[in-house]
Amino acid sequence: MSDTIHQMPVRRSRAVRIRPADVAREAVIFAAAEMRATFTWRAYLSGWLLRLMLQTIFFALVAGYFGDRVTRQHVLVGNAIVLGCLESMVIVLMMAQERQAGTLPLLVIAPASHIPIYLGRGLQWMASGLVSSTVAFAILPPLLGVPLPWPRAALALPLIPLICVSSYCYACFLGAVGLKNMSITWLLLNLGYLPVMTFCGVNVPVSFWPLPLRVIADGLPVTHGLAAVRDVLAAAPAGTILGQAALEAVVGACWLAVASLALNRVVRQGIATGALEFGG
Amino acid sequence: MRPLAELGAGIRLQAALIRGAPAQLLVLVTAPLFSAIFLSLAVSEGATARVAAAVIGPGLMSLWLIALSIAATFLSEERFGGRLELFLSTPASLSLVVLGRILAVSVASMLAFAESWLVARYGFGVVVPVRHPGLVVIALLITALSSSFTATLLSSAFVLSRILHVYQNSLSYPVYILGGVVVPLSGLPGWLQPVSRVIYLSWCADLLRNALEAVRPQDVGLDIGMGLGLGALALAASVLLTRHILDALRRNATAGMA
Repeated sequence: MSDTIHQMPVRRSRAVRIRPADVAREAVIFAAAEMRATFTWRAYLSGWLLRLMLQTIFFALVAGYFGDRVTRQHVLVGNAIVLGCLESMVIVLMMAQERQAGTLPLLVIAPASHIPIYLGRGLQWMASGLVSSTVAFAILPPLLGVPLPWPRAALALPLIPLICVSSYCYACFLGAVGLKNMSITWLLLNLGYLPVMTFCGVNVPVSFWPLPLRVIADGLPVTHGLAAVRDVLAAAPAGTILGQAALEAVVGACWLAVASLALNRVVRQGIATGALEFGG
Repeated sequence: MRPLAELGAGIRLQAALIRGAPAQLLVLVTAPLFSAIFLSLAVSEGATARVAAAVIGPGLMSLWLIALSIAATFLSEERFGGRLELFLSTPASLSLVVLGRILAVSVASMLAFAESWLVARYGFGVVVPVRHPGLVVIALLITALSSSFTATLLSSAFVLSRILHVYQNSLSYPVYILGGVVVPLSGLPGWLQPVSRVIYLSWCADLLRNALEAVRPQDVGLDIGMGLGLGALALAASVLLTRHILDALRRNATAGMA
């Protein structure tokens, strides 16, 4: 049965072609509109953003309790950067909502591919994650008495979007898994970002963990990007920093490929079993 | 007897809902990972004397998070589902039914404490001593009761909100900090400590830390009295607020409007 599913093509009309750039533009417009409907500026700043800043402060205080000033700065930077990953994970919920809305069968017969549309459903959260990570990275260290070495720290800022994008690609895969099992989307979301927070160098170095966990961490987003951020702060050679950044990009690209395959599989299985509309 | 029957009805209903949708107890999946984060920090920094805090923290966080989650969704779901109108026509106390439902999840979520202890023991090879088992049981009981009482008050307050999810999300980490769930109040800035003292969790966390690691627990009576007292105060406020809200819904004929 599964071989049949793999071979079954998703037939798409060639009569009308929609350019990928048009799909991308619409996705961005939709994402912005959805964010405006979710938050007012006041609710976003005083509710959501403040909550994320307090989360970062909480972990920094915990680090200060167990360790010293250096530990506090290490944990503060890690938890500021990981906010982008956390918010990117919301796409797991967004993709499930989209399927519940019944759009998947319509998109499958539409002239545009369903893949960029589904994988673009959480762009607003990735953007929000980018803002949260950047604000936390720039503002919190001096507030907690562990300032970063500016202006050198500014070189780490371009790494934040890279980490957000690779985290988003990873979250897209989890979102595709969630489309098959929509009752566990919250579980997927939490089991998506908490292992990243635990094992990927956010709080303690990756080398703290046993080898099998280090291997898994190597394949998760944030690990290499955060290592690059820490390298920037430690004034490491440019080659080391760029190497880690490249690894983060590769990890993200791999997760995006796996996410696309997983999403296509969900669609093919849905067509084969006739359950595409109902979240089978 | 009737109050107990109403409380029991809430507990039975929530137990049935949990059996049908165990995902409600998501915190039991996340608590071991939070334990791993705190324990990895404690162990890597050689702060083994403070490891009890790393075990208590995820338990208290789970208790608060799940109570908050049920509090935020309960009345809104009843209202959205059109069941609040039916409830208003019964003689039962809504606060007691809500309290029963929250108590059920609070008790279930206390497994998170056991999970954290096991993660420390088998994941990190650290044994957290339980110096005063009787006091630990009392502390857990008081923490579960006060969490449920406080969440009952929040469930009433939340029904008035149109941006519920924002408040629900916003109330987690501030309470973890102010409640001293991992870092005791002595580790917070001085100006924050008086604010922390009105949060029941700060007293419960002190009590739990004392029960686990202190050779001679200090101020046990004060911790118990304040932890339970603040919770009871929240419950009393909840009863009054719920009565006020339900009266308003009846008066304005808006019980069915979500």
